Amino acid sequence: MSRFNQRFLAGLDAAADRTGVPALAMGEVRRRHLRWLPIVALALAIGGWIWGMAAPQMVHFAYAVMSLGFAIGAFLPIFGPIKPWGAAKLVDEYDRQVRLRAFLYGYASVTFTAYAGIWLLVGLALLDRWTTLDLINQMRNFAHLLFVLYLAVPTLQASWATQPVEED
Amino acid sequence: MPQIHNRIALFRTERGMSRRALAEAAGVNPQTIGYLERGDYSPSLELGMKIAEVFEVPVELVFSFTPFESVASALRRAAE
Repeated sequence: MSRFNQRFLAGLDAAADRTGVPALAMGEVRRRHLRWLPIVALALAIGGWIWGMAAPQMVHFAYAVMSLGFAIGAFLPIFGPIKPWGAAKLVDEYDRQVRLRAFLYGYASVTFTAYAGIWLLVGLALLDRWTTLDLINQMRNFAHLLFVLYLAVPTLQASWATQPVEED
Repeated sequence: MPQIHNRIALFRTERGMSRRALAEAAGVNPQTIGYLERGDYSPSLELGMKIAEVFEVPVELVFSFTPFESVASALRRAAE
């Protein structure tokens, strides 16, 4: 291989490394305690959901606000303190315990919200005489809320339940 | 669940061992050693025995249900 090609390919490798994608793929991302980002994601999702129900004519704008919360929530499992199943880096008994507790909180919140939310939607649809399209839009927003809960609550629990340890 | 006290930091300092070195020897992450030292986490029997094995001492010298005597008071008592 010519020297030019070697330098060119090395430059491409370095550029790819700078994007952070190879580190993500190798599971070498530095995990942090994210205490406030899940709250922001949840506030956007819950706020958007309530706004969409209170003002059915604004349901699509409310969905956009919820999507912003979802976009933030999508990054929480990648950079938060919970190591995923099948992670490339060592997952020890402490990590497994943190993950177990965090997902217990996550699943409990999703289950409770789903149960309460379905009855709330049915009740409001009857009281407010929603059309079929209104009900479909509200159900779509509610499903979006459940996704955000699933993404954000485990990271929120793990980030507040443990304190970061400094490296020695 | 009763809290398990430990002397990991003491043994580690005595042997001039970093958290990373102890973690590698015990097969866990360095952060886990930090959580153990801070008392935020009670280890499994397997991890407790592995750590005691690294320090080459019986497990009851490293872990206890009752708080360990501080080094200062142990030295004071020995001097009396």
